[in-house]
Amino acid sequence: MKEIDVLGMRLQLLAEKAVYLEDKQTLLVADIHLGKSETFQSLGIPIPNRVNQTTLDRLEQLCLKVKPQKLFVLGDLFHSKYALVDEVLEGWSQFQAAVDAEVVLIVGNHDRPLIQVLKNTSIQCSTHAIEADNLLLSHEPSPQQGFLNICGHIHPCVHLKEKLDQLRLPCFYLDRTQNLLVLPSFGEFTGAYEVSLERNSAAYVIADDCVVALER
Amino acid sequence: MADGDRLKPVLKWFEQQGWQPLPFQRETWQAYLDGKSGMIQVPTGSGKTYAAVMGAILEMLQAPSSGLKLLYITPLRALSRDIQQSILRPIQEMGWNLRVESRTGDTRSSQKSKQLKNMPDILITTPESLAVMLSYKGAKERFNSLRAVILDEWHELLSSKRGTQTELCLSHLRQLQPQLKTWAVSATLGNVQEAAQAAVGIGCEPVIIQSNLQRQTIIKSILPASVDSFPWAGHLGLRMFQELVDALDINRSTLIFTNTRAQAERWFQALAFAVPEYLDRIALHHGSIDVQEREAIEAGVKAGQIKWVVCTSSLDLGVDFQPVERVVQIGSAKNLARLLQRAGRSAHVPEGTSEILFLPTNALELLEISAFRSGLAAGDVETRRPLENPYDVLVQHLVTLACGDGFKADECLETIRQTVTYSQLTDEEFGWVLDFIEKGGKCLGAYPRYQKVVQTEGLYQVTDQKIARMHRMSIGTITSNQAVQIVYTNRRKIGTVEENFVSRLKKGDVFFFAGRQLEFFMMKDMVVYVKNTTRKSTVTPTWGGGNLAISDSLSMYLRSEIERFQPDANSNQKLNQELECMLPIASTQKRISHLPASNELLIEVCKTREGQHLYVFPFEGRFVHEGLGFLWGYRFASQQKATFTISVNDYGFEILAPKDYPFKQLFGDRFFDLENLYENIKSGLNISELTQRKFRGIAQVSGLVFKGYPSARKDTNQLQVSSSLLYDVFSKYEPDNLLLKQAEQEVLLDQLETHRLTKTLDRLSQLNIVWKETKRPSPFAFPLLVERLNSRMSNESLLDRIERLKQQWMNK
Repeated sequence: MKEIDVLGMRLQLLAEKAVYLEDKQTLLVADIHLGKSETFQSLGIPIPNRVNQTTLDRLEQLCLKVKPQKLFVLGDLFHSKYALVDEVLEGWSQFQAAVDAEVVLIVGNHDRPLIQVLKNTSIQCSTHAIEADNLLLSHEPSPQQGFLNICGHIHPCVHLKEKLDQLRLPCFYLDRTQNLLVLPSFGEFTGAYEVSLERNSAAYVIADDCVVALER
Repeated sequence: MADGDRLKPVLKWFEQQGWQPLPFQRETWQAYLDGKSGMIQVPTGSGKTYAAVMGAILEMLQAPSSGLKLLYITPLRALSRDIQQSILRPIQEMGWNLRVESRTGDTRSSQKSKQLKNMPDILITTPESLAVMLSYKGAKERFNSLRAVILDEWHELLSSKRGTQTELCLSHLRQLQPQLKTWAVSATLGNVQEAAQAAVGIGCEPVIIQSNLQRQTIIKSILPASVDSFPWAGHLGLRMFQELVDALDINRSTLIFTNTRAQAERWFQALAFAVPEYLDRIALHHGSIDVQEREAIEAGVKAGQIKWVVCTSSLDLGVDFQPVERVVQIGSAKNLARLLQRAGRSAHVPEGTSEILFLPTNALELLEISAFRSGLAAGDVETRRPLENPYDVLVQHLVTLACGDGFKADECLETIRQTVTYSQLTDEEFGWVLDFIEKGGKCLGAYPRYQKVVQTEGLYQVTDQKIARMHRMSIGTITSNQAVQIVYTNRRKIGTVEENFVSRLKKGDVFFFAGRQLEFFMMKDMVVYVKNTTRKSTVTPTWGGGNLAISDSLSMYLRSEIERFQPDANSNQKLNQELECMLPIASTQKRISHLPASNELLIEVCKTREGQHLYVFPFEGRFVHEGLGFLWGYRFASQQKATFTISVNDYGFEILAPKDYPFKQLFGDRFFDLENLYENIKSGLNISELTQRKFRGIAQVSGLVFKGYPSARKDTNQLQVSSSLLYDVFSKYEPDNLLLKQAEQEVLLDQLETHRLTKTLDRLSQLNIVWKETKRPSPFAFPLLVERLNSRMSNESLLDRIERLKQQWMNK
């Protein structure tokens, strides 16, 4: 775990790829991409569907450990229309039943086409970014003056390289100029996009169960 | 019918040309007309095309029928035009009623769909286009009248996945048409019988036709004015460019071969700098340059306007360059077959002499030139073997068949086992592949939504048209890194480079490509827009996969060349000019360390500021050395822990250890043990990293990653995934997946050549070991020290690695 301070707010960056706001007892995760394996399967590429359960198990473990009052999913809970099959939706309801927190999905670009179906489920959706004090929670980055914007969408990772060795690690990406914090993608079967570190930005990389800061 | 009668129409045409059929041509035609299959092995440019096709044409003239009768398969679509021309020539001149067409990736789609309905008599195509044809329904009727298949340049395909794909397609054609005759055409190979068997399939006795044409190959070298006592570094060898220019003549047409595209770019620049007045007569030709420009260059050479072409293996094959008078090889060709092929590009007439000028890029390559000459004199040439059970190609092939008319399991397995590549395929393996395409895998219930191939009453078929469409777009086995197009801002195409090169460029950066100085303007939708510039830069794009290693055959000659420096061995034999030129190096080697005799293995240890170096010189080629380096590294480290850096080249390998590491004390006979060989290597090197790299190609061939077109549609957008992510998921959830196993096999066999490693260990164990402690690296060790292409072997934790990388990063 790594604690950072932005605009006077204390944020815990967890190695489980989530942010915990202790003051608000709120847990944030992004880009879960449930049903990505089913999407691939439907189009002829065999990805085992156990990746869903592994993802959900991790999320459940995390919730049982931190005991948040609220859990915000910052978009892309589901991967595509092929994801909305019984076994995937069922897994999600079981998760919701198992944790005490109130769960809210801020709809992401992958969820948006599914909104009609999602409305018929027990999932609480918000189609807009959510403001709370000087915190702005969204899927895509949407920094605003005076706010700390926490978002997903990018799936950031850092590529570290020297002559003999290289590593590609998922990370939290912080842009201090814009007060923007991007979460790593939470889902098991998700790719990552390499970010480059400019001045006034930092990456907090996840290495097994540690969070290591990279800032100059 | 008497033989003369059977051949009459063709003999008549030959007579009109004033030609006399060569004995091997007659022999082939007769064998063909007797219903035989086989392989023709003659030097390029000796009339093999007519040898191959005329039998089939005679048959067509004798027994006319409608529909497709001859398939001509060529590895390069660029060649199809030339082949079509030469086949058309006798047909037009004699007024034979035969239609000849080509079908390749370049053929218009309207033309393609017309062909599917109404096939020509003779169709020229590539392995990929043939596979695509099999993926359409109606193959049975389409190939109903097929009588023969010709496989051109079979040696190029044989030991690649494209060769496997060809074998599979042919086995299917034979299932449809049991009387089918197959004729392969190949250059010189060490394993003629096996190559022929792979072409005709198991259960058929191939006729092998070899010509008695003697093609003499003469190797000359361009020697540096003087050689220092140390081999110079820099694998581009550019400092020799003035010597090259002096040796060439702008009025004689010359092909200048390099081993990599980057090297070709640099040499082109150097020549353009040396003779600016002849710029319009010099050209650059490699696989990343736009097809149209390449064709223009080829036409320019034929017409005699272009005199010097700097090229890579892009010109190894194909286009008949009658006017080429000289061939230059820059750097070692690394194997005898390639050298012969390239030398054969000059004097493209049946009994000519081929001459090749060899320019060494470092002093030790002088040894290789000398070794080449000995190898050629002995008539040795490398073998190229078919692959063994590449599951990815089989997966692709079965889905291809399922997209078409569908297949039945038993019948299909029997057919597949007729190929040499899959002759040993077990029932279990085949069962796994079937499960994989039908259910997603062996793991029951893991893939509830999976759909690709559907089995109904024993017939395996693809019923979803979207899946069939996606599959057709991904047919093929050529995998490379994502390529992006380079285009002028006025949209004129220049060629392609690898994406990871482009990703390092910013607006305004200048780089060299296709012999031009280009300024990066912008990148959009997988297209890089550039402008010409005169601003200077030294950046040249790099392309992956450029590493070649010296072959088994050549390495043997290389070792005996060193022997020739021994005073007693050669008292009455004069050294040749290359060895003469190398004498200063040999004597320094001898003074500082030792010149190994053929019954000795030289091991040097040397202490520098970097630490303790171990140098071993088996002279077996870089791939074998890589495996050996990791094996020995592991065997050292298991006795005393350490972090090593291992470097390899074609002559030997280096293990660099921390100060005072006691190499000599730890060394012993068990280093030559064959026991636990694979396990030791696997624990020695980070095999998962290498395997993951190999898996990239396998995932593409087996249809796990879909490239499609870049302007992707909705559905395919959702399928974007990196092969490394797939690799992780499979390793975690389905570790028994055969495609993972294949990736590991490819690393061990292709990359580390473990089969050669066993032989090497065996050979080394019989040698006397000469340990030398040197004060400074010897001439043999020097290239390993300066051109360090190395890998690390370590047991550090992830966090330690991050800390170290972080320090590096902070100091940047």
